[in-house]
Amino acid sequence: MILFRLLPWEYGVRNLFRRPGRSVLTLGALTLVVLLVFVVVGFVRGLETSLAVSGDPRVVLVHSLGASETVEYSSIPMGHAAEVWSTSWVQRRYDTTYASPELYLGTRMQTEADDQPTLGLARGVKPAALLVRRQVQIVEGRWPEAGEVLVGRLAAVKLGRSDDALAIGKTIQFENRTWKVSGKFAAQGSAFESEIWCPLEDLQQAMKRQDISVLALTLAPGATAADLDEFCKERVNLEVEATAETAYYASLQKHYGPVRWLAWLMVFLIAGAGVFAGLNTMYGAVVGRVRELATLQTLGFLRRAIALSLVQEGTLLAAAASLTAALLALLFINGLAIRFTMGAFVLRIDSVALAVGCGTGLILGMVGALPPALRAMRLPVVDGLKAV
Amino acid sequence: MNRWLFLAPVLFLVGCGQSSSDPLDKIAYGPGQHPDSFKYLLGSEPADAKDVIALRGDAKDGDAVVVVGRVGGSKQPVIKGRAAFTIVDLSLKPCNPGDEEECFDFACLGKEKVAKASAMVKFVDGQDKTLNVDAHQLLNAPQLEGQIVVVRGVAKRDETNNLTIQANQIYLRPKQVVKATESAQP
Amino acid sequence: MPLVEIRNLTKEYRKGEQVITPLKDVTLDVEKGDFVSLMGASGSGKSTLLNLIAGIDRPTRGQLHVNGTDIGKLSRTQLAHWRSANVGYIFQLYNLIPVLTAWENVEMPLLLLPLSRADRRKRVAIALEAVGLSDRSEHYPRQLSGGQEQRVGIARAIVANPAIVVADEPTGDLDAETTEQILHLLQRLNSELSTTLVMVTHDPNAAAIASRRLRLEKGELLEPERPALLATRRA
Ligand SMILES: Nc1ncnc2c1ncn2[C@@H]1O[C@H](COP(=O)(O)OP(=O)(O)OP(=O)(O)O)[C@@H](O)[C@H]1O
Ligand SMILES: [Mg+2]
Repeated sequence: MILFRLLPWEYGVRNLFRRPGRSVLTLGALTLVVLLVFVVVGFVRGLETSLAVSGDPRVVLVHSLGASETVEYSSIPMGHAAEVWSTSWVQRRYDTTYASPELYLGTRMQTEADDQPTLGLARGVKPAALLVRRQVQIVEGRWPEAGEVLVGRLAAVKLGRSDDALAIGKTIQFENRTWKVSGKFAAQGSAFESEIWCPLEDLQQAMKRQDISVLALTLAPGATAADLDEFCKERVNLEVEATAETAYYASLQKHYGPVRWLAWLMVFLIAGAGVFAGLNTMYGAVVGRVRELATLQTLGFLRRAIALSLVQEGTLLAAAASLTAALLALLFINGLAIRFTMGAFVLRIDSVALAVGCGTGLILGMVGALPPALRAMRLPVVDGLKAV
Repeated sequence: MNRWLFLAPVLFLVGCGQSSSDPLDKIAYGPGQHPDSFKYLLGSEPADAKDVIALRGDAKDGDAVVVVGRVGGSKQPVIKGRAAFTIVDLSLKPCNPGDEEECFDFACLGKEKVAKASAMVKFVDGQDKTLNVDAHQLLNAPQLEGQIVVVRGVAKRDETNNLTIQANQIYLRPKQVVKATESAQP
Repeated sequence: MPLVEIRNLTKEYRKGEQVITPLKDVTLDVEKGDFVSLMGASGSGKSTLLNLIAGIDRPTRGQLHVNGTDIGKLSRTQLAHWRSANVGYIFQLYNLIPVLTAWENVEMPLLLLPLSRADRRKRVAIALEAVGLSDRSEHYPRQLSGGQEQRVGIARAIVANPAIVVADEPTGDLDAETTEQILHLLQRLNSELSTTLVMVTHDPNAAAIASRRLRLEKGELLEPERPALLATRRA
């Protein structure tokens, strides 16, 4: 429903080409702003994905009582773990049990090229890990034998090294041993991708430990996490409890709430800067056009129609900037690996990121054009006509 | 449109309000809305209740017992979606003095000590299977964690000396807040 | 009933304590089909009167009926709608929209009226034909000479077939020869299309082509050739 006649669309479009230099500059500034928004949102989305993808609804994690959020501090004697995986709630096929005992720790690691060790993430596993951790796939090389490691796709990034540092055949030192890289795995963007996996027995020997940190299980059809949790808590001597993997990662996500707020704050600040770019241009556009805008009013166009046309101009510019930024983001930012405290993950420009980025861009254009438009409309027509 | 912007902080606050501050939550619940709750909830406290540690010492499989303890022993002592929870001996000291109501995981005491003072309480059907209803719901107690309960039931022991009580009836002892309101009277 | 009926019209500007009165108690009738020229010293209030008649400014006191509407009483929005249907305005500096072609400039006022695309096309073609610029319809203002620009401006003023066309020094920025052409065009519009015209000018030659010549002196209206007419009306 249009209650008043609008200015022709061409008017707004062609005005953008009136001072191409200025328009291009603004386009550049807005593109940069939207691109920054993409980086921040891509960061948040990547972080969320790395946590969310990690949760498999059919997987249950068994860990020490009270260590549900800090698996590194969890310690389960192998015997206790065996009691749990012998229950009927665990998936079995032929003679394999879908139970993955794992020893997980953050430890100092040193690649061949390094003279200084850095903190990396190691996980001692048995082949059953591939059955339970279904998102994990070997993309290069093979499963590690004694003294070998399988490295996650982002393990090198986590260590702050180039991919070559962990190429197949290279070695890496941790826990007083030298390990040879036998292959590489991907895990659909989940947190595993920043880890280095090695045979459980080797890691236990290296660390002189007999226990594990976590037992990951696939539920048998019809079984639930509550079944296992009840079993664990009833046998209090086992000193373990069971958590659905999805619930575990949901609790981790909560810890990243502040990071998320911070990220949104950044989006806000960046957008604020963007508004100034938009404002500047539109003020310029309006100041040089006072007489023309008064002429349009003389012809009978309503002030709101003219203001709308100015907003249209700003929005058009912002839309072009958003599109450019989206293209650049998809080409250069999407999939970029980032090192972060808890591991590494890739920036993700998904539909949500695209919506937020482009939405911000469009709002920038609108908000930036409104004040100048309103200012121009405050001047009486007769005074506007006298403007040079 | 402005109107909705004003609402934003309000929505935010509502979203953040996780813990209920309703004082009623702190008071024990009478027999309530779950259709089966009347079968289990007792109106008055049974006499001669034994402590958890004592019972772990001498109860034999199949004994009829009355036990008193505090729902706790871990961050989630109530099994999600099940009529089952763990209780710990009342002698366990809270991690911070004066924390009786909030502290129920006793994490600071160490797993071992807590395990030796723990027992599981569960409500079962005719086939000895745990009822598939969350204990919070079954007992109409949204804040069951940290609650002192007196349970009448049958003891079950396993080969590693763990104690489970198949509960017939339960009494939820009113919480301390009642005393506080009394002392507030002139 | 005259097309323009002005009674005791006064316009004041207030700047703090100071009150400027560019129009004092002006009374004037303009009949349909009149071609009125308005002369006077700089600052005598010519543009002020013209803008009041065109409905882009509002009187302080007095009555102002144009084409049967008491435009002093209209709201800003109503006034805008009224202008689009009743007034054509010719500017001294043409005021064409630089990003629009001659054709599009002329079409602008029609966008405010309930006309079909075909109707608009027909009318723009006729208006451009009338000012002799049919061959320049695709040109942008910067590609036109001053005289051509003003002819586009005139086409824009008449295209909606308004009740009255006002012109504020339409030849003020043109050389003698071009001025001649523009004046001739205005005269033809008046005689052939019987367009009612009110034109402000400093140029006695320009004023001479009008059928009625008025003078403003310090905000007061005089009609040298028909003094009695104004006097009786004022009384
Ligand atoms: N917005 C305004 N505020 C205050 N005074 C004004 C305003 N507009 C016009 N005036 C005053 O009103 C008087 C008449 O102005 P107007 O523009 O009508 O003169 P004019 O006859 O058209 O002169 P010119 O031939 O120079 O165009 C002038 O003294 C001018 O200073
Ligand atoms: Mg003037």
